Amino acid sequence: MRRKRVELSAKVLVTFAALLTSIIVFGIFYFLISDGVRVFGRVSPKDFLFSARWYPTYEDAEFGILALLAGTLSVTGLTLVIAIPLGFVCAIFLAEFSGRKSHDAIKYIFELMAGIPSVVLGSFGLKYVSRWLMEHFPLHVWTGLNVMNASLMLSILAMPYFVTLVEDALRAVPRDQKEASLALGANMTGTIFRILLPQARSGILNAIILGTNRVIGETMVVLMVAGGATMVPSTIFDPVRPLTSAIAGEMGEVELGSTHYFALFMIGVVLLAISTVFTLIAMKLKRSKGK
Amino acid sequence: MKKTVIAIALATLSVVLAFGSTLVIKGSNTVYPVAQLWAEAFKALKPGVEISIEGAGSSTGIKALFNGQTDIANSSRWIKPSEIEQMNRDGKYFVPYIVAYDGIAIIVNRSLAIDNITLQQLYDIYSGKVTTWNQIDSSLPRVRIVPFSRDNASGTFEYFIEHVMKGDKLAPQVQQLASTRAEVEQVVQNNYAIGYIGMGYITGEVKALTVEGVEPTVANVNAGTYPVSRPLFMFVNATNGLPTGVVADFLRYALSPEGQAAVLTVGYVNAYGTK
Repeated sequence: MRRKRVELSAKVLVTFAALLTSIIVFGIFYFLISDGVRVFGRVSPKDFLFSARWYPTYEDAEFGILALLAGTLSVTGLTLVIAIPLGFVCAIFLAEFSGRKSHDAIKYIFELMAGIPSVVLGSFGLKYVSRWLMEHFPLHVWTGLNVMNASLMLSILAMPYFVTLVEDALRAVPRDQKEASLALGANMTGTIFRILLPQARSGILNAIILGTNRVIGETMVVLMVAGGATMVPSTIFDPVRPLTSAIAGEMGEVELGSTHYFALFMIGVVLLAISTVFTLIAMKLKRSKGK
Repeated sequence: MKKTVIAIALATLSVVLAFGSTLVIKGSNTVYPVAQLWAEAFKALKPGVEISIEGAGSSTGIKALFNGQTDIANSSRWIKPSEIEQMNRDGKYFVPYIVAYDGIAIIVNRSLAIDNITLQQLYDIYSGKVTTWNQIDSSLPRVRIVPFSRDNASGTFEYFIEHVMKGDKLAPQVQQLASTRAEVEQVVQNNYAIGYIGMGYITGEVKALTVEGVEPTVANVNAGTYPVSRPLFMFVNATNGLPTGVVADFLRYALSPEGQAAVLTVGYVNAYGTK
């Protein structure tokens, strides 16, 4: 009797917690969207999405987020180009080639890396990486705060995350498949590219998508080192102002209920939409893996 | 015994009545940081005084002064003709106190061979009409100008847009940074950068240009000759005479040498002596 009661109350508690969490999540969605859409009463959706002119505080204000969106996409894209190959090499080494000691040592380094606060990375980029970029690429770099600087810093942020997920995916490949390949006379390189990577494909894609989500949402680093110019970049050394840094930089001073205020919420909705799409793709991949 | 209790109660009451007053300050976002410093120091001097400060903007402050919702209206601009009309209509009279000056320094890298800039040249650089240094001065290299600005949440940004850009928009390539420190850091690193900062932030690491031939010094701002500077005001309602009580005490503190020294710590220029 008593056990039953304990069980029941535990059940109620867990259900309540689950309900509360979903209410909070949907509540955030609701408030974000209901405030965000109000910008369309004053700015047309076409201008908002397809104009690159973000001048929210002037007499004749303009609220086009194209340049901000281009900032987010360019920084995220370049980060992936840097972090994915590097992360792959590290993950393959950790999963297949490292001895126990070197494995633990490298893992430890990545754990340390994962613990670096983003504001510290931002300060590092602002002070040292920007100077380094200007000194070593004087022909191309006209400002030290640019897409490249932000992507380098974000790569440091994303790498530990990415390496861990890819390594897990590689380790999840059944051992007998790998051993069968080696027993048939295939060398290690062939085994990795023909057996391990194809087998771990969905896990790897999942890692890439989760890593991308993490990079898109990162705010402090891009606010500090991406450059803050509302321009559509034409090279990787142009300064940009990603969506997240526009929200973080401007929300503090914006007048409640103004067009600017609603526009910032709409930017939040855009970010949320991007990350929801990525999450849905990741979920779908996971499901197809189960088949 | 009873008498003592009553006496103590009365004494407490009279103390509360004498010192327990509130002071409401509203208005300019630019004046806000220095007003906050004064409020903290003032509260330490006169415990029991409650001070509430808001920094939503100069117009908001003056509007609140009309409604009687504030004791002091901070303003980074002079009173508007429409507000003077309203004062006449309502039979009210507001007086300004100049509490500080805000001077904006134009900074470049120390290695750049330029010492002076005109307001027109600044406008051309920040609006994107001029993009290389040799267009400013033919002896300078033909290298891209890298203009830096504060982001649009900053009061310095607003002032720059209003007075240098005359309300026109900055070119897209102008980099808007989240802090003055970041701006200074970039100008130190980049030989071809230019930026504008509150005068209080000038350091030896960068070169502060003369604007229209006038050096950005406290003396020149005080004399009114430095072109990118403005007075910061506190307006009070003087319809029934000059302020008394806690409002007068607060203004007296703000204009005292100690209060004026605090002005320098937030990057503005003192209006009166600091000694």
